[in-house]
Amino acid sequence: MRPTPLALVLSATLAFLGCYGEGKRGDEMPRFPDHKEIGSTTHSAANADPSSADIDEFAVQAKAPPISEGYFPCSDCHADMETNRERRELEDEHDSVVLKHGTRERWCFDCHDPDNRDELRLASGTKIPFEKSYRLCGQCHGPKLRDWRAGVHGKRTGKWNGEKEYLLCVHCHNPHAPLFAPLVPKRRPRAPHEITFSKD
Amino acid sequence: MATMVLFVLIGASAYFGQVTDGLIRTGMRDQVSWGFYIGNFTFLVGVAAAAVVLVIPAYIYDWKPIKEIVLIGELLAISAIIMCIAFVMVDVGRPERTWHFLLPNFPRSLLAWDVLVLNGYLAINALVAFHIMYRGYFGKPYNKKWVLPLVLLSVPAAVSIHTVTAFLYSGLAARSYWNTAILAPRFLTSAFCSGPAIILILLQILRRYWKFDIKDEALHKIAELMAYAMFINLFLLGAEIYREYYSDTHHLIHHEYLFSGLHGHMSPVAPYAWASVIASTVAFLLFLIPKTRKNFLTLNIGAVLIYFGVYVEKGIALVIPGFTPSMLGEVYEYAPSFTELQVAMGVFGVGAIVFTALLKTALPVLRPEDAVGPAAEAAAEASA
Amino acid sequence: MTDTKKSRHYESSLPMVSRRNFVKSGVLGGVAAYLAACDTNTQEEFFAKRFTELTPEALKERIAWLEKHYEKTYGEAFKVGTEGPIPDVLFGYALDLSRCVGCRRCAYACVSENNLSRDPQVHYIRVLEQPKGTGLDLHLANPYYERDHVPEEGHVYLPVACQQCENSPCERVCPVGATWKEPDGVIVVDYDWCIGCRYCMASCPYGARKFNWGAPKMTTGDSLAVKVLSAKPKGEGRFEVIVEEALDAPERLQPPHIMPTVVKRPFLDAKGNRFMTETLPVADTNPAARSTTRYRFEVVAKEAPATSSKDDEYGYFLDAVNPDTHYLGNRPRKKGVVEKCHFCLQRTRNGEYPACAEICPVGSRKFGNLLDPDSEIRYVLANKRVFVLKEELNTRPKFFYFFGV
Repeated sequence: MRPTPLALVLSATLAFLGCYGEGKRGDEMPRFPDHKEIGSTTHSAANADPSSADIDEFAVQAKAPPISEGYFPCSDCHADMETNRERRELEDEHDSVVLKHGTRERWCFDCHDPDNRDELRLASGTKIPFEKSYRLCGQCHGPKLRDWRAGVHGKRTGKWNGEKEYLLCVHCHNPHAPLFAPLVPKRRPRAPHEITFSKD
Repeated sequence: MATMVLFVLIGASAYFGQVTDGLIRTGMRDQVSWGFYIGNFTFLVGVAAAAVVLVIPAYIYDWKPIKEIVLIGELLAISAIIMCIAFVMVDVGRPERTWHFLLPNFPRSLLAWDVLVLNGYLAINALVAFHIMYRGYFGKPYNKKWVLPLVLLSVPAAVSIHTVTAFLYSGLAARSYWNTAILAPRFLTSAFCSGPAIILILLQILRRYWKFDIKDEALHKIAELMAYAMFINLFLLGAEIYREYYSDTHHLIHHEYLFSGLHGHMSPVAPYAWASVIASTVAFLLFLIPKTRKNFLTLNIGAVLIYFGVYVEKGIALVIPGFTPSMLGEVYEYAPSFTELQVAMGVFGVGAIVFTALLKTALPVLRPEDAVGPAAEAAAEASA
Repeated sequence: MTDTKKSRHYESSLPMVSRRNFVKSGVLGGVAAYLAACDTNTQEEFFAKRFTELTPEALKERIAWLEKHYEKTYGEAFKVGTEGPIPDVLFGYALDLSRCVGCRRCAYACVSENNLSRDPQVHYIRVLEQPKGTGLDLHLANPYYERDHVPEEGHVYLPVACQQCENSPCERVCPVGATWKEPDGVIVVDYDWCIGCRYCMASCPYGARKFNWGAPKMTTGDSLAVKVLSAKPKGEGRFEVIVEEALDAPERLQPPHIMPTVVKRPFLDAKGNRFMTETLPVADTNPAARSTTRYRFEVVAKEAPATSSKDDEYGYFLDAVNPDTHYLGNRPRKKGVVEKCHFCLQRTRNGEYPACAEICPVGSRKFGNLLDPDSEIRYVLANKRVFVLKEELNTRPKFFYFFGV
């Protein structure tokens, strides 16, 4: 029996199908980087020394540090007050501060500068402004600082291909009690049987 | 006939509502995005392909008793394909855009293939049937040079429509329930049961009410072929079930849903699934034993059981477990809505009307004493 | 049917050909009638070409037509962008499973940004709650969890949307080529070309593709009921309004007040960045206070919207249409077509982050250019424990899950 036209068409198509790969736009597609490239990536933030360059060299701070209204500058009150280094129950202005952050090991002056309350203080004694508080946090939380600097820990806004904006650690974590409070979730989606026709 | 027209009207009005409000009128949702329509479509592709069960013995082995009725099989195939196309049409969200199929994603999309082979098969059967009918109208035998190659072509074409339809499912790696190499063979073997089951009953009706000359041996031969097909079908089903249950992977969950249920309660498809397997098995035995095959009561019981068995297997039991649980593990108990049932009724009504009309047109060929027009005159002249 | 009178046969057997013609003309007539009964948009789309095949002039015409049509429909000026892919960019997304708390803000931010239908409800993002210790057995996942607070003890959360596969089954199976992969790696849908066969939904291993079962409605107030916290006059009949979104909005407001015409979108902060929400007040350990979303925007109105101070007084809902759209992104869809996440094309092709990444209160969502070794996403791939969902299917997603801790 002679091969029918349909059979010819079918076999030709099957052969064509076999070597038919991506769509017709395939030739302009960028190539996904392979494992070798990804593994040896030299991400500037990954290799940066956490205590070195400041982040504002490549990103801008999205918001001012979240200091309760009317408190700053602290020196307004503290300038002519005695510095009391004693561990105690806080009263008056700071009674809302409950320390849940390495409570046994930590006290106000591990971070706040006892001589100038408008600044923070690293373990080395170096003083830093509130805008750079991440350097203070990074003393203990090195890996977090490294990830944050790369935009991977915490929220990164702005432009993915341009000016990045960062939030400080303290925008999301209360420095005195950094653990996130639980959130109220938004409403559950409707199940399929709940999706019904409604005239508007 | 009036009943059928009523069915079509009911279906049309339901479809009008579906077009107006959207497919939200159906029971389908994102979790189970195909349902009753596509199940019927799949089943009917099998019915259409089954015409070759008649074509092969008639034309390839030149077996006369079946040759006389092969035309009926072809007419059934035409009607079934028309219903298939209708079921796809009522299932799409934007029917007015179906002309986009003229610019298909070919050869990558199996649905584009399906449109091609279904229409091709429809064209082949229509050409053959209309040629035979046209010549018969003038009382002439059909032109062998034309018909034979087309009929021979209809054999691979019938295999192709059901294979492509099976590939449409089995090519989806995401759906482990369908993603099996034996889906296409299972489709074909079950098709060679369901289509002939309809033909068996049809032929008896035609013989009784329309006084067709149809020989018993033709019916028995068809039943015998069905027995073989059903054996392979059941064997493949068993192989599938063994593989799933013995290897006991995550993929088993769809079979569990089909045959028992998940999360401790029975699924609504389980009774159908069991009934389908039992019906198919009983029918297989009835058709295997010559005594029950040749007894018209048991033959008809078997035909009805097979029809039911395959209708469930290729509809409910194919589509629903494929989607349940969903890709994200969700169990949505799909059931066709009233709209879907009405629209499906309408489509079957259209199929029945088309089939009846074709059959009446073919009468001069099927029953020479009924010839009208030139054929009758020629016959009269010959007898004078 | 059983009538066998000759005359009947003669009648019914002869005109078969004309009957077929009758059927054919009936079908054509039906299509014509259907189109005549439809809105002009359907007629316009019936003859619309596939996006990839539009000449620049035809595209301009199409966009002008669409913008006018949308403005007529939604009562505000629309922009339908056609920004193309940025050269040498391949978008990638990463989600930190050790951070996600399952608050579902991403899902609803996506609804507002991308003009998803509120009724019938469409969500691109599904957040699954999994009992810990079950690996990723999705059959134990629950997208319908209802908790007073999240995260729930002993559970992890897995948000799932389109994974933008490099080897995408949906694109392969679409019979009419209505969905394809753009050079920046995003799988898009041409909403005017899709026929709604839903084959792609059957093929998607992630349940990411959604169908418009009914006509999408965007202004039903579902999840967008707001109370007005302040309304400052800005002159020329304009007011700067700050609103707070209801946490669990009533299904419908009685009677519904639509916000006056919004001239600047919600999600504008003081610097004009879209979608900067008032981020969590950190010092506040009251969960409810930390869970509200506030928007600042400008409205045109005769008088200032009434402010409310009561806790549960959500007197308005935002007219929730976002008129800042993209042809292949968030422009309004209609019933009967498939849609899905497209990485907020209207934002990301203009350098912005996707809405879900910007709203995430815990910063678990990372987005960037896979071809830029200095991007956030490449940092994640190089330094974190990363996996993709259902990798055995070889879909090669560009959506990665990782453990930041």
